[in-house]
Amino acid sequence: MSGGYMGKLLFVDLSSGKMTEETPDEGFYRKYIGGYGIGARILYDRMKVGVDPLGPENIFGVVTGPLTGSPAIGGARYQALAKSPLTGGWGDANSGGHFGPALKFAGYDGVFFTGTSEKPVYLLVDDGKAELRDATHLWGKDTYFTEDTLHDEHGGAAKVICIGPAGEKLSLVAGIITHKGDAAARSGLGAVMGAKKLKAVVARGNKKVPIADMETANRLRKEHIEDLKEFMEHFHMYGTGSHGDLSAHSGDTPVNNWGGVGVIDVPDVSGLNKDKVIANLDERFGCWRCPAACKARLKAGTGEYKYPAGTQRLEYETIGAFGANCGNTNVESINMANHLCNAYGMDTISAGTIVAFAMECYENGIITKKDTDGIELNWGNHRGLVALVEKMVKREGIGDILADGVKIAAEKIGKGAEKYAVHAGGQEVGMHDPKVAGHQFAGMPSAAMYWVNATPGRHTQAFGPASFMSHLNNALGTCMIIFMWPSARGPYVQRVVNAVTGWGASMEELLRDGERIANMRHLFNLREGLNPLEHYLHGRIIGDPPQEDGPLAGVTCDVRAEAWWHLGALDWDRITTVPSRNKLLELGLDDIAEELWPPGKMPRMGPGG
Amino acid sequence: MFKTIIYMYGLPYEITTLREAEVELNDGAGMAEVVAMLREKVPTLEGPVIRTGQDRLQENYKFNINGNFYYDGMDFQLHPGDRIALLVPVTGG
Repeated sequence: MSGGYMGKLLFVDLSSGKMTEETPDEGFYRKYIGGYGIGARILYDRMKVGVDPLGPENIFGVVTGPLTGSPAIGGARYQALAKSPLTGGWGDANSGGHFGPALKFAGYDGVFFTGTSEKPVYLLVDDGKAELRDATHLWGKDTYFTEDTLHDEHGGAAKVICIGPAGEKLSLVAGIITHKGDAAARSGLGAVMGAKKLKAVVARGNKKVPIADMETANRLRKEHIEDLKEFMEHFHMYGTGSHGDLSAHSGDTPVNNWGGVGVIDVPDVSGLNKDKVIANLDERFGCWRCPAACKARLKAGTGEYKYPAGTQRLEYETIGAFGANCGNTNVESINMANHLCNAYGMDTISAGTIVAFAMECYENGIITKKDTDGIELNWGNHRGLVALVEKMVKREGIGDILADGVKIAAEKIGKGAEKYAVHAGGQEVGMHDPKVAGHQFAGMPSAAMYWVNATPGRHTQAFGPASFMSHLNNALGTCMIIFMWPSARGPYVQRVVNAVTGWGASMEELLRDGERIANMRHLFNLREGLNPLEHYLHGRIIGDPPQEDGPLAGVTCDVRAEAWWHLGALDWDRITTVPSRNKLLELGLDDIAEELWPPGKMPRMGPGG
Repeated sequence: MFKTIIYMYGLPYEITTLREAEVELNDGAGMAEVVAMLREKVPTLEGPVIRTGQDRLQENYKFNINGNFYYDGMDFQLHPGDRIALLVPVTGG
């Protein structure tokens, strides 16, 4: 077996309580790497088409990568995946913390859940043994209580991923939380766990991740830390929360539900300055063995907003979503909203976008104080913002209507509200405006990425050949920021993968692996009958019509041209988006090539083919 | 010659608190001329935004001219009535 792998996957049927272990062969691991790669292949093979994402037939997976728990910098991540109840297609999300390494130390590369439990349960994976345990005492409790209680029961070395009440109540924007605030939040996977009555997964163990060449892996770790010293010092100080003010005025952060212009609508952004974000800092900390340690916890809020001690310091996406996108610059209110989302288990990108949607509906008289139980929702009203988030995470009053995302909320509200429902394919969009050219974020986001991604609206995966590296990174189980920062690209990635696994792979081969994963995620959707070119994309995201003032004045993304070129580069049909037979064979997906291109079926000919 | 305003969005407070700078340019001014005039008008941009001693933007800073983006290494011709803005690089998260 290659280094980096524990060699076992666990399958848990929550309906029967039956558990089985599988030991995939080395070829399977080499081909699908980990994370979304292994997950997409297993769901493609074992899940029927058209299942209800909240039903027992959906498969929910938690998968690590070969670098998770290894000396590789940023090797602390796990990936969650299932059919998404938010988009109806492929769903995935990932998070750092300590859980990913702990799952491997417990002896497993991944766990897959099918079925639905009759009563709330959690899975304990304890040094090679797995057991479903009653979680009745945790049901209805927030993620902080759940994590603390499970630590009390199993010791601090036990690492926990869990859902909060938002997931239990099947909010379609519910996420999975670990470390009291590290969130695998996108795709609504918290609701999938909630539907399965799966409250948490707990992992602990003392097994060692096998490393093919430990001496080289450790040396590369030291080299990489030296390479990134300056970057890491800045990152340690502020995490991703250092540019909320700059981005609000540069055009990067969407403003007032993607319809505003920062310098005009939110002229004073000093409240979002990086030093305000860390003003109430208590202590910094990191994911497992991360030298950057970009995370931090706050002291208890002592002003208007009484968030508890230990609330995680804001990340950029949360600052953007509850900040400029709601016309809000009160950082303490954003801390409070962040705390509510973390405690109840809700995606802050979606939650902030939903508040912005509600504010615009309120400003236009589509909803009134009568609908909101007296909450005023004018742009920038931070008290209204926090009050609304509290209703959403608890599904109370109008919060119940809003808790499934802007698309469904607009359908329920009617009265033209869909005009203000800014989403891509059902999911709220990351807080980087794709109209800004030249993001320093792995060449993304781009308009076509938001549109055509297997999980539309995601800001971290790029599109087309540019996505191969991010898919590889996710599958390896590494942090896209610390592992993929420019100095780490190319030689470091290749060398550390080979040191850990012993594969002796070239960078070209590794990128081909990333391409295979991009194809697998897409193939899952194709089989569901989803063509990403039919995803809805709100015009404000691409500047249709363009803004008339500010840094993005006049900018309209030619999203169809971008998609056209990228689809060609992917060798996917430019109309159906079906990968060519040759491409599938080139990627070693022979069985799927036969499925999609049976003998006698001619490839599309002519324009667009 | 014509006068135009270069709008500056999202620049860090430590660099400049200005929102805009008025510069005088030749009709058809290109990247180098615009950068040179901008440095003369706002000297604090030299170093963090404009390469020291050169009429070139730092990597990833860019101009938006009439909705199109221009980086170091690209060129343009600016005419009266064109709308130009200087934008910062952005990071992730």
